[in-house]
Amino acid sequence: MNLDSSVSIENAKVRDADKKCVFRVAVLSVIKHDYVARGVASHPRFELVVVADDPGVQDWVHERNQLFAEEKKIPYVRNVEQALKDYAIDVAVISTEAERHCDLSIRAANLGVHVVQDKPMSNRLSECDLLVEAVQRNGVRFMMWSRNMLPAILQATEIIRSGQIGSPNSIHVDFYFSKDAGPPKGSRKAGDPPIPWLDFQRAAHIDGSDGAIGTQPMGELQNEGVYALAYIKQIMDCEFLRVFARTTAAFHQVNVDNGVEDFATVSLELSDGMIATMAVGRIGAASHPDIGEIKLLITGTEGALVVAESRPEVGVYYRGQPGKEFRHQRVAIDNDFLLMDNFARAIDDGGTTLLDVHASRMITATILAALRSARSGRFEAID
Amino acid sequence: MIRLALIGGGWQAAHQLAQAILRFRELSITAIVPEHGDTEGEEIVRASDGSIVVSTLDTLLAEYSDTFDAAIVRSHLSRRVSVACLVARAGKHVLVQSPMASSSEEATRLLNACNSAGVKLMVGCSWRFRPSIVAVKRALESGKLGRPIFLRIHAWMPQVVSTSTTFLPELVELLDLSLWIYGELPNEIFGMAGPGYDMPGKQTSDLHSHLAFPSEGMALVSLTHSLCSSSGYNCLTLIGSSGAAYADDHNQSQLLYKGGQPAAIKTGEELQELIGLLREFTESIVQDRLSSLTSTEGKDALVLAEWVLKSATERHPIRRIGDLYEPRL
Repeated sequence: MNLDSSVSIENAKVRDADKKCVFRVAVLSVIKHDYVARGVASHPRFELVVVADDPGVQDWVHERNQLFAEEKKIPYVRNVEQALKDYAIDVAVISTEAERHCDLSIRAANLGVHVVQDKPMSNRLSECDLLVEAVQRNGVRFMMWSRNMLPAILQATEIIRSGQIGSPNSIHVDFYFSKDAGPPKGSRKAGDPPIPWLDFQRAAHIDGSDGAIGTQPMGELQNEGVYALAYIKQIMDCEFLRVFARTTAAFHQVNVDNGVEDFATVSLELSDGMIATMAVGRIGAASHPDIGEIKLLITGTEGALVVAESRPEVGVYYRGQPGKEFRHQRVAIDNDFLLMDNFARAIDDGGTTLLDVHASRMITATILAALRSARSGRFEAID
Repeated sequence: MIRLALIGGGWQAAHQLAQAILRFRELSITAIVPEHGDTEGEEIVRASDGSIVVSTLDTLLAEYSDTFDAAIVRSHLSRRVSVACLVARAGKHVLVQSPMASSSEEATRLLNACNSAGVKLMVGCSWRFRPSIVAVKRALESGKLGRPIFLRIHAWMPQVVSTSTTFLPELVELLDLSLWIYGELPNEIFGMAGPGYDMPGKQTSDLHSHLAFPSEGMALVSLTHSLCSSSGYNCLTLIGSSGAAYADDHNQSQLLYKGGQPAAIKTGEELQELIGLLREFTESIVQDRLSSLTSTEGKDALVLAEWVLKSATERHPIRRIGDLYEPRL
């Protein structure tokens, strides 16, 4: 994971190199987090020029792609390869169903196009391996989207890297989203059909909580767990070796009906003898006044560090405040720009990105090993 | 009036005990046995206004047995059970510092001694009486949080406070909290230690316990010995099926500015914790009932700690089959 001085906000903003060429960006399917495409476009060196997808995708996919293209006043092309060639694309940004991520990324890489991809990398390790090979063979840059440039995460990384707590020994990450995901567990009446996964995720698009969209149900470990593992990877600068995990569907009926977890606990063996734990899940809107408790606790040979990911934040309370409005608003966030600045630098210099193809593959492998451990009850090696 | 003998423990703890005693009409310290013949006891004598100070337990039991009704045993872990057994055989109720013994076999010996003598035995797991933890437990018991799904505890201790390289004393306290919250024994245990744990001549400062309960609940308990600070850091989060509670020193600290980076100053709860512990012990004697923290629970936490340490050493999970734990290879 490349985290050099480019992560410094001040350094990034004063670089004259920012005025280099502008990269032409294709949005390859934008059916879930359109904030990824918007985040890419937040950097002045990246310009969205076309939205594209395969002709055979379902109508609702075309509709979402079309809407985004109209908003951005760019064309929507129902042919990925044609769009990449006709519009002389430099960068593809992909935010679609998890099972299509790698396919679209590989096809872009094979045409010499750099890739920014939403999480997770894939829900199959074999797909990740194909993508790793394609990225290497074609010499393009790959970056998985993350929250690693949030102010608190940057601060934590800099404190650890500068040795202020000595050599790191352990890290714990809490990553609880306090959003609801439909009706609570136990709410399905006898005789009612189970909640269909894809239909539910499609409906959840309205509030942006459709990160696990796809035909194959995906639990919170595969969905939000990526963020927590990306934090551990960046801050501890380590490899993941073995994992023990427990999972449960304790909160939401849709998770129960589809056999995927909404909460997980993970113990990780890291390189150099370091250890990590994390707790990840969607714990319901009632369980936190804001978006959720996201916290990092790190110990080292000469000190320790407690970090609230949400800070800096501002409390705003007023008469008549809607119940669903967060009381605390995050401020000073520059995540999108800094991620894309890191990506631009990697393209310019031929270096690695913040969350490159190898780190992203390792995160996927770790999650799949954790799910395997949850079934076997064993301490599983990470492939 | 219940008259207490204080056996063992450092001056700082004894002084705090004297402060706590001041809140009770029905409780007094009447005798003190400092360990190692040190003079620390004289400080507590001054603080507790005229208690008897003797140099050995034998002297206390032989010459001053009629001066106390119950004893707080804070002796070193290696002597704790022996001391507590002698006190019990003298017909005195026992409040023994946690962990109650250095092994589950020793714990059984103490349990049997107290049962035979017909005296109360309470294990002093003080975390249960910490005001912030009490508030979390009350929220759970009120039903507001639903059923417990996940418990996370972090306890980081300064090096000067930590007296053990085995993690056992602190680990037992934290695991007791897990058992208290869930009200059942875990069916899966996984322990993991930080750098140096399995290297001869080296020590690790980090130990994680990962538990899974039959009710599908989980717990992560993390312990660190190496904090380079004058005070520790504690955090407990309980996520239930319909709510959550967060008791975190991060949110209970004040900022001190006096040059350089500001320091976080924790607002302590230790005295109130001790008052709660003493109140429960006293009331269990007066009301002739079991304490809310039974000696059996104290032993369960000790047994669990032994399995966590075994798992951390051997790096494989432990599972429960019936009443027995076994490695899951």
